[in-house]
This record gives sequence, C-alpha cells and structure tokens, in this order.
Amino acid sequence: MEKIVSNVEKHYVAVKLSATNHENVLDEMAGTLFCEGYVTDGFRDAIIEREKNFPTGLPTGDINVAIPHASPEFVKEPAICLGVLDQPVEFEVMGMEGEKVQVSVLFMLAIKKKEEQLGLLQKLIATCQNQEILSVLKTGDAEKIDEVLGDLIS
Amino acid sequence: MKRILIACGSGVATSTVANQKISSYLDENGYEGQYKIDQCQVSEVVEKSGDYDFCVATTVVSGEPKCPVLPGLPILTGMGLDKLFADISEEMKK
Repeated sequence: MEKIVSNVEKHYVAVKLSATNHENVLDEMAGTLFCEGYVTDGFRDAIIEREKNFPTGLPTGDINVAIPHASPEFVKEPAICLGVLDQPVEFEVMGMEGEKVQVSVLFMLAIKKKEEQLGLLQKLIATCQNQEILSVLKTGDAEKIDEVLGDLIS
Repeated sequence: MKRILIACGSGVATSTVANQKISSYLDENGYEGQYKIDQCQVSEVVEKSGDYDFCVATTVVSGEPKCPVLPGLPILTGMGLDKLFADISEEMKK
C-alpha cells in the first residue's frame, strides 16, 4: 500500500493498493483511516461485517466503484478514503443478491451525521457516475486526485 | 398523499441520497406536496411496510413486505434510472 495524498484539514486520504481480494482492500483502507485518526479500532471489523451483509459494489460502467461505509459509532471525525487498485477486485453489487462487479476505485466513507454529509454524498454519487473523473482517479496521479477530492469535500 | 419509505443498510448513507434524488424528481414532475418520505434501515422495511404506499430500497429486502419495493441501485449508478423514475411515477398514479 502506498499513500498518494493526505489532507488533514479537509479530512481525506488516498491510497494505492495491490490487494487481491475485497477483504484485504477493506482492511487496508480502514487501517488507513484508523492511522490518520478519523475512526476507532472497531471501524475495520464493522466495515468488513457490513460489506458482507450489505455489499456496496456499484456497476457504473467501464470503471466500477464501491462505497464501503459503517455505523457512525466508530467514527471520530468524518472523513473519506479513496482507494485506487492496481488490479480490479471482485465485490458484490449493492442490493442485488449474488451479482458481482470488478471494482477498481473505492470511496470508503466515515460518516458521522447524515444531515451534515448530504452535500458530500450527493457529490460523491455524481463522481461515481462520471467515468471521466473515475479514469483520472484510476491513474493514481497525486495532483489530480488532490484536486478531485478537494472539490468533493469543499 | 403518498407515503414513501426509503431504505438502505443503515438508513443513513445511500437512503439519504435516494431521498434527495426522488424528492427532486417528484417535485419537478408536479408531485410537490403530494408525498411524504421516511428513511429507515432495511431490517425495518417488512414491519413498517404496511403504513406505506411503496418502498425504494438500495439493499436487498428479505421477508414479505406489504407494499411494492423498487430497487434503488439506479439512483447510485445512473444506469436504468429512467426505468426507476417511470416505475415511481406509476406508483404515484395508483
């Protein structure tokens, strides 16, 4: 795992991952949010457990995404972790039992209050539906990723 | 007045986005003031469904809900969104 950017003021961090299964991906990203101080140590297990029960893979086109998140009780400060994968990893599709999708970009969300984060969530979903932006994120270019995440949070 | 239930795993994240998008769609299509939306966790859908005209869920609803349940995934992916909005219109006209 390699850190691409981190912004402690705006509460975002981006990492490049070469994990080969979805649990490793979630483990490393949750670990990143923990190390940056945004979540408590229960967050990791909560994310993995929740993904099992409520998968978050989204078939959005050529580049597919996942938006893992967990209960607010493990969140100290709201934050977002972008994960860019070297190789796509299989996730289950949200709300579609048994359907799978090859994911290469992830947004892990540490959500505290839904009212405060509606704007972020809306922008995030718009980003997930924009293949052009996703392909920029997928390159792992630090400067461009910083720009996209900065826009998302502002 | 139509009562709409929007559900996701926690009732916090994706149902909040779905709530906003469905509200905008309904308002833009002349249904302003003619509906009331509540959000909940997917585990509450079956129990609550008797009080609602229809439900939109971003996660799988197990059990036997007492109202129609529409899949909310298109709101998040953008794929098949026209179909979902058409289905919502149908439910509004019932």
